[in-house]
Amino acid sequence: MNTQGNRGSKCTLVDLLDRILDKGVIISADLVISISDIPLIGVNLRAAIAGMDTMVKYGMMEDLDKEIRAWGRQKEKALLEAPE
Amino acid sequence: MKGLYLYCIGNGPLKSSLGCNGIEAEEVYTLPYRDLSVVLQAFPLEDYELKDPEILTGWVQIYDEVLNIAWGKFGTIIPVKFGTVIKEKDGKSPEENLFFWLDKEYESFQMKLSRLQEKAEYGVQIFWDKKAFTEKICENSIEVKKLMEEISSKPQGIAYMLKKKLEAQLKKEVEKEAETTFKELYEKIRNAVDEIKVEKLKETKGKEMFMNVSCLINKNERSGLERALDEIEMEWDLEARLVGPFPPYSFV
Repeated sequence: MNTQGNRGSKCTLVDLLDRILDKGVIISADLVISISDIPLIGVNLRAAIAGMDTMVKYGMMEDLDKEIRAWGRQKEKALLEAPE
Repeated sequence: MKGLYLYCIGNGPLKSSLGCNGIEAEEVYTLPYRDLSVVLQAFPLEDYELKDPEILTGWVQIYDEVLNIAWGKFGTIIPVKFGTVIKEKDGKSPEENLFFWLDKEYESFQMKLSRLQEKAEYGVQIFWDKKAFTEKICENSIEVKKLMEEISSKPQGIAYMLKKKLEAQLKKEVEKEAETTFKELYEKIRNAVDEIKVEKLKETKGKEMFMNVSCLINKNERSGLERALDEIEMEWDLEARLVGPFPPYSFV
């Protein structure tokens, strides 16, 4: 994959997987054979390369919520434990 | 009989070899249809089970290579979904089915090719430091600061109730600020490109993705987008990553 200019990051295999696996024009299903397991292996492969257990977060808020709560708890604990 | 593994549709009729090998060393070639071409290779027809991630990696790399060669040759291409193999059906050969499909979609392909002429796709990913983002809100929010002060001065029972309130308040403010920032960044990037598409956020090593978009711009005209990303890094204190150019995978 080409990159040019100052800002082009090197395209990694993860970039390719993200861009290629579920894009492009689709042909009606009755004309194509199914190559089973492409989506599943694609997900596992991406996860393995990225070193993750899970692959895609569908939104940031779910995750944000958990982290903010944990962070909030820490802060509060510090506040409560602080000498008066 | 073999099936036909499709790579992409090219602008212009051409009947030749593409000059590279595809999956299982089959020749990749082009077949003309009216003023278009389809880039393809022969492929075994029996249902294919892909068990090995290394094989998939190889296929992805071949697909990327073939599309880049075709992109160079035709100038404008429409990628076909990865892993598409046309089969025989009701006594019709894969090639007959391919032409049936091309005939049916011809006008839509023409429209897409004209829209995508001389365009390239870029991926833009924005990363954030969520903790720093939240701390900044703590420093600036009157409401949050007030709650924190109250917690430290109240007995434990009341403080417990207040800290629940603080959690909710903080969450609300972080979400609101993140949403505002997202909209501002989206506008900024959108103004620097021809088309933009918001993608799912992905897990990345060591960094947290805040925004993931695909952008369509004229080939060799990425300086506007680069400038927008520089400004985003400066003004919002975020990290921006640009990857590409790619054929227009996300805009077909």
